[in-house]
Amino acid sequence: MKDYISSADLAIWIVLIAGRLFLCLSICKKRLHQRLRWFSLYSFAAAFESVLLLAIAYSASYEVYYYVFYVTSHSISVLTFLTLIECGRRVLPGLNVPQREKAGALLLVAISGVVAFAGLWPLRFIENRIELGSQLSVAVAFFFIAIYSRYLGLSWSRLLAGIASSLGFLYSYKVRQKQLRGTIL
Amino acid sequence: MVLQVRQIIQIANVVAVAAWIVVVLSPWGTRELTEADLLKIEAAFARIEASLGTEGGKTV
Repeated sequence: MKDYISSADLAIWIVLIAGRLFLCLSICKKRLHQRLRWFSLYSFAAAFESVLLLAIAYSASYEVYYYVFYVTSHSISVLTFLTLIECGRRVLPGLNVPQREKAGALLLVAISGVVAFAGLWPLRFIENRIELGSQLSVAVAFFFIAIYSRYLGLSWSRLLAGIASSLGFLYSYKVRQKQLRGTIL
Repeated sequence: MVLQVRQIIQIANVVAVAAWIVVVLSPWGTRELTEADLLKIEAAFARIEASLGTEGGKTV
């Protein structure tokens, strides 16, 4: 497996691991795990995943790496979804009823757009199409939470809006990656 | 090209982690509770308790 890793990949990987470990320390220092349990668990799991995958990449075969990557990435996706629910539960009760209906309608329109986009994008396999649609839906939902956090007076630098907008951007990049890979391969 | 795409998502992960570190550690949005703030809160609670006591007296 290590033959497939370039020095640039390794450098980015090490920076990512260092960043994730520092984030875990920051979460412990600020006792964020008491306020945002699922986001904290997501951060710890992501740090563990990065370290585990790096160790496996240099000690095991490509097959082992692939299966570990498959299991850990799906576990991280579940934790991301739970983080989405956690962020949503913090923000949505702040809206009064008419605004909540308007917000729900806007979200429905956005999700419909996502479904149409995933259906029409030229991908070879149905699995890729489902993955693209679900990742884009998660990104849209995070942006929705971030926008409503802003609407409620929370700037991007505030905790919840910052977490939601970053996860929204991250999943948008993942969608872009899926598009490029689906188009190339 | 595939390798570059893989590196872009890793860089996006690094940027996201940096953003989370900033929002977790930043003092923006939090405020230290001063002695004056504490006195205001105590005064407000005292007024609430007094008004509740008055209402209670009326009902009894």
